Amino acid sequence: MITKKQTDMKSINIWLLTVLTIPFFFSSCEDFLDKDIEGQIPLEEVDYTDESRMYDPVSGMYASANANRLHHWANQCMMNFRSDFIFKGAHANDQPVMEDIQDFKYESMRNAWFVNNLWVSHFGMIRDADAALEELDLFGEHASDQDLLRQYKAEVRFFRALAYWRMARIYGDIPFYDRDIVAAALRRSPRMEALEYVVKELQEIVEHLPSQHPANLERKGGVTRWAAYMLMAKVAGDMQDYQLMLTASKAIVDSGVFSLYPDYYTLFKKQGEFSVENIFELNHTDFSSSAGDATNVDQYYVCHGIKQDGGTRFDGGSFNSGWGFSMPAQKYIDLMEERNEGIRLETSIIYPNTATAEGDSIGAIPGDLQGLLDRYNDEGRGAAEAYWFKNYLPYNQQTEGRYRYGGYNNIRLFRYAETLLLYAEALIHVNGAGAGDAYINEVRDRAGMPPLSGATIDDILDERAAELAFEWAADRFFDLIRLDRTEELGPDFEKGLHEFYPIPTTQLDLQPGLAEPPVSGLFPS
Amino acid sequence: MIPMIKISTILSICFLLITNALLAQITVTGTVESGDDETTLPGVSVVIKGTTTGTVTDIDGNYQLANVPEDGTLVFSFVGMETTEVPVNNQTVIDVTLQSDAIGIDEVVVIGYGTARSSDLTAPIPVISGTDIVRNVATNAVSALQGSSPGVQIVNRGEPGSTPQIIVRGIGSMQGAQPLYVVDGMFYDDINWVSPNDIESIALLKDASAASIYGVRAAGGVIMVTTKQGRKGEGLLIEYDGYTGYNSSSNLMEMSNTEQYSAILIEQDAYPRLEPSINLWGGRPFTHNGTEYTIPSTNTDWYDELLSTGMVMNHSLSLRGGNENTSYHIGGSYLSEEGLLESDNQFERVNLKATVNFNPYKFLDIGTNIVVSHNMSRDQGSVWGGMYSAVPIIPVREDNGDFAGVIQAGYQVGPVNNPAAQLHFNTGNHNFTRGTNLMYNAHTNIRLLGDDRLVFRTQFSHELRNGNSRVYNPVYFVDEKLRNENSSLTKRYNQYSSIHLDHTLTFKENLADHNFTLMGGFSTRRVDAQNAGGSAQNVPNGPPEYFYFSNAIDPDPVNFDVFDGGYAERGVSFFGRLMYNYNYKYLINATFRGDGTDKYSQTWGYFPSVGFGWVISEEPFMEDQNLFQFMKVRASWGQLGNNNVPRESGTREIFTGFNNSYVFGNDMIVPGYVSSVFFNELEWELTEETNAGIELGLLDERLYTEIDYFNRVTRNAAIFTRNLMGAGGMIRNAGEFVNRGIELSMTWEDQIGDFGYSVKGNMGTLHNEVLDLAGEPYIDAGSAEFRLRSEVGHPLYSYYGYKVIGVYQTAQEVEDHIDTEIHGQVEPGFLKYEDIDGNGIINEEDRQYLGANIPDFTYGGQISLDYRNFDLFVSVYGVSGNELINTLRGNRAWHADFNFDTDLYENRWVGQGSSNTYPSSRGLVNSWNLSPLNSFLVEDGSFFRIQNITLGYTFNDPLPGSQRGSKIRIRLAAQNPFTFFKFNGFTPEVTGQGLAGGVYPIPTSYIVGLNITY
Repeated sequence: MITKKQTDMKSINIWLLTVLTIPFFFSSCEDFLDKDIEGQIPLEEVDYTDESRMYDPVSGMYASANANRLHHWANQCMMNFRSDFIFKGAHANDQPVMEDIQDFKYESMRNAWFVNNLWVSHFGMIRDADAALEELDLFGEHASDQDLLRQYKAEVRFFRALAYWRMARIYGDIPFYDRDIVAAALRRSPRMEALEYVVKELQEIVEHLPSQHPANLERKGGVTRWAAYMLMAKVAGDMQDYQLMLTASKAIVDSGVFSLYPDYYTLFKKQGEFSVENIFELNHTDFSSSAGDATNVDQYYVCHGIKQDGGTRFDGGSFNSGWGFSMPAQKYIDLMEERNEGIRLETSIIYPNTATAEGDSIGAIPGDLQGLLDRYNDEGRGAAEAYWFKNYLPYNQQTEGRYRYGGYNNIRLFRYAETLLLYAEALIHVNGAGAGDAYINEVRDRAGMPPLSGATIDDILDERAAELAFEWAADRFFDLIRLDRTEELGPDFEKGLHEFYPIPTTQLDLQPGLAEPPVSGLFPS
Repeated sequence: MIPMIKISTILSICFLLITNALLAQITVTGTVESGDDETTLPGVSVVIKGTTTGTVTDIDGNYQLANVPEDGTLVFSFVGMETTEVPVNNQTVIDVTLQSDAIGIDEVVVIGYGTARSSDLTAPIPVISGTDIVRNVATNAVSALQGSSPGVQIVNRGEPGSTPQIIVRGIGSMQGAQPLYVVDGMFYDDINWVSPNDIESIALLKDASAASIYGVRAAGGVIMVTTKQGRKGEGLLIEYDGYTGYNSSSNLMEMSNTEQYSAILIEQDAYPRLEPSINLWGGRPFTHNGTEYTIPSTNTDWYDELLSTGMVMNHSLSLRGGNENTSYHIGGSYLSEEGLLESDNQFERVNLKATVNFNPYKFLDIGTNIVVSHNMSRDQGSVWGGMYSAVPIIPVREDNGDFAGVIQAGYQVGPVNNPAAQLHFNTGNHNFTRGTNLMYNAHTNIRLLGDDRLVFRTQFSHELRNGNSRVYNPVYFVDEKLRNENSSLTKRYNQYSSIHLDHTLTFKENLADHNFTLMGGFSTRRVDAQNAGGSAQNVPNGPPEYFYFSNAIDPDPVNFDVFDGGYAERGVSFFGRLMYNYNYKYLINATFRGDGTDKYSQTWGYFPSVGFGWVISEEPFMEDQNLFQFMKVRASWGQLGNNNVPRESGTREIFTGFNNSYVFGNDMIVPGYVSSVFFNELEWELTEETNAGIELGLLDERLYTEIDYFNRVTRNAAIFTRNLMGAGGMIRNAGEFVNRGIELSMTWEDQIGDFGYSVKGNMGTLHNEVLDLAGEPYIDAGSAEFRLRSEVGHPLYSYYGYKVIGVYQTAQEVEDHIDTEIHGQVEPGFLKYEDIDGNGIINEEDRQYLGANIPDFTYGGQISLDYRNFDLFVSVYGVSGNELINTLRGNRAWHADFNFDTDLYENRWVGQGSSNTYPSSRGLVNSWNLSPLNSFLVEDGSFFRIQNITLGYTFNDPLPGSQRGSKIRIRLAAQNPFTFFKFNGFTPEVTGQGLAGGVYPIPTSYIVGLNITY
């Protein structure tokens, strides 16, 4: 039996123990609570003194641009359907609102997802570029080779400039992306100021960029100063600054780094990747493996691909075709036939129920697509019963087990053929008709076309249509705008009203100030 | 952690050695009667005050208790009776009459880290008894709380085994503040694993001053579950409860049949779309508007084809009781619920619970509680949307028995498909989710002064969840659209461990008329969760035994994808409470909690609360009246935190890996990363609430009523805001919003001879409004098509779009109203939107607020009647004044091939004057009418439901030999038999922001149940 006295003794001991242990709990609290997030590498972990990792943010920028931002299928639709050469295909009930693009019915599509997607993908690139430049600055504080740092930053700034140019081209007056600004305070700037900013950026970076052919770079296919000059020339075209257009395109021509690839057809197939003609391309690959990592080429090829009934069976068993979203206009075929085009027409267009040079069979136009084409033709629009062919990749060039329309072909952004045409155009603008004959004829010659003499801007326009149709930049609509030939766009196009897409509703909701008139002086000068 | 456990062990061992001195003791006997009808009461608990020594009365109401101190006090307590204390004063015979306590004023209520008398509370804490919970046919006990208490809105979901959404006093957070569940003092994120049969009662801590003792996790309210426990000296009680019955669907949407569908297509000039079906499966004549047509002879009602009734059953058995210093409760249950689909669509749960408490010495309790729960569910994906879109002109199967494809019938693109085939192949019977939960705790109470005045409690609890799931997609081919070329197998395994260690010290003292309870405590929490899994292609179809990665036909490592993730949380808290009253008349309750967590940049948060009460009926001036037996006014204020905010939000991070690296030259992967541009320092989201209430007991305590007003403001609200240009977004502390309302509950109980009845009713109003958005004019959510906007002065997540002011009747009306150059496609029969700025252009400038999924008020009621051996119970529930967006109709803008619900067909505009609310057939597929959001798609979400009707019959003492009298009760019940609503969807019960698409409807259940106690 234990007495009462002992109880008290024990009680005191317990009290003592309790009191003594409490500080112990608290002293360890902060350590207990100081814990990193599972499975995530916090930013502080990047070792900015490790110069060997300085290229990481740059590689990330390339990846960001290539992650379905510069080549989202719906972006391509928005770029293409306004032109006089391409109709919205697929099926009447597949993205029906996209039909409004070719009719210039902007009001009804302001809140469509794809209008916003185009905006977000480009400003997302700009945001990532800003972030990458901040990262490079942090590396730069320790970097021993400041020239290398400048080159890396120049590569990133190229992508930012590219994105701004596209936005100004598509939306006209656009805002400068300043992440510190609150959404409500964001305003647009005049289009010309945005383009001037792009030019200024490009002028600053050209000298920091490598001067080799991109195929000869250590990181094959990277940004070179020629890509920057090429972009500068195109921006100059939009600004109608033909002296600048001349300077920039001349720099590329004079460098002697590029020449035309002899075979126009295979230029767009696997053989043409990193060719002598390619100034800049987005690299895509599935590593020739049927599974595992592959780059995010998404539906860039699939979307515009041949939509057929029967025909090519890429993997011997199941049907694999494109969506047929972009269908050529008869007007384009007529132009090509009138010009007696050979290889360029054969590369751009193919008819149903035929076969390709590689022996893949092409099926019939399926009923639903045919229904749409019939309707267009009933409405007198002139849709061709033919397929867009330029992005076709033959069965035997695809990776076994990973067949998809167009495969993982590199996406050609800038080609030397266009450089020659830009140079020729600038010469004509500056020195008059005939001044660009030598360069336009170089392009024609490769396509098996007879030389011209006294070539005019109209010749340039047609030559660009023949040479560049259905490629990434979707220049046709923009060419007609910048060269003031909008009558080609049909009666629905109203000058001064339809050049630029409206700001997407989602963006107006996010930043209501974008509805205000543009404000000068917001882009850094 | 570990040192703490050791210390508590040492404490326990020390106290094992201690005992108390002996006092003079006698044996007391007596009889307990009920004051209502003067019958004897079996099962009354008789305990020596200040101890846990006691007994219960036998079947004749008699008791005998030895070793009672001569100067002690006996406490008599019984459910539904006022607890009565009688001083012993050397008496050996003490007979007691207990008065009924119908209105529960003196009920002991479980509050955080302690208990309190209901009459001493300064905050509203409704308590729902286990009896009321098991009346409902529900797998989750929380579902059964729907309509039981004002201010607690419960939105049930129809999937078997699903967890309902619980909204305590409005939307307190944009991050979905879910309530904290506290089961017997242990903390959980959900209580799907609790068998409703094991529940003694549930207390709802809805007010901040009541919940703030739980600090950071309490912003969504606290649901305190007390499970059944044995009582010391009680003897064995065996109870079986079970039911069996079936689930069926009610309130199904009616979809257009082939004639109606054809009529609409004809009116849309889309007759050719019917032709493939006619060519494939035959046609029949049909006259529409005087013209003869051939339409498909196929006429499929997809709901009819895909829905079935499902079995439900539940069996539970429990044993409880105790002897002099031990009490126990052991319960086991099995539940099975089949869903409404013609498919293996089931939820099963097996539960075992054991609670044992030892009281080896007067100053020491040791107890443990162990729950093992296993559940298995088969999910059937989202076939509800598919059934809505499927067209009637496709048969389920071809003549040869194969599923019919839709491509051949002209539905090449879009979501229109054969949902029977989808259900059969896609959501196959190979898929399951299984979980095993093991929860155990051990606790000890040490009475440091030998009695209840000073108690130290240590509790260790551990929750371990293991789960795995399997999804298998077989190879199948219906047509080019509905097919799967490569089989795939995905498996996931996860483990979750949550350890809590709580210590509290409670001091109670009554000094003259001053009554104190002081409590202080310290708590640590450690959560570690891991999940891993993989997927592989080309695992052969066959019995489930084949479904292992090792069976993949092409075991090339690149065909495997492995994923692995996890999260961890750490929390440290200290807390305290003072409860003080002067003579049970003037009440003060105050709590304080400090919470530290690893989640936020700001580690520590502090949450105080204070409440005051005045029991007016205790005042001398109230003695002369006999209208009010009880009257109390009270007011309280408190703050709460919300830790449901995702921890990674707002931190600066980088994204690496293949997707953030570029491949140069098509073979050289150069490591890359992208860093997040936007980041911020996230602080605690804080909810601050003021509550004022009055409680009245009147008319001989037959009527009890409680009225509360609350004003709940969320500050520093963590809101997902999109970054500039919509390039992603992050959570920022960017707002302040308020929920306020009035809650009213009334209970009337009476007994007239053999006829007893009670009527309960409650109602809660809710006003939700955004007060501030840190300078942003508004914050948008949803999509461009279904825009949700939160703006200062409007409810959170309001719908924002065009207001329909009619339907254009004539071309002239179109011409007069809008600029037809811009809106070329608009024609008579299309919706007419309000052109706010009157410029003839309908654009974003013309949008306005169209409502929100926040009800103006919710209400519930329960009526129970008993006459002799019969009892009847009816409960109702209703929600009023909220709006929903009909996204099923809205999505048609992008998919014109959908079928049309019959309402659209019957009410469509068919010519001038035919309708001023519904569009024409052509309008139904034109984006003008359906995209963007307009008020045609916004519908009234109000509903009224008869939740439960139960008829019971009880046999009293049919089984001989029971210590306390046996009982057998048989019941017939209907759960959710009738729901009345106007919304054109499957169910008006829609969780979240009110985007009502293909929601699994709430089933109606009919059951027969049996309850045996012995």
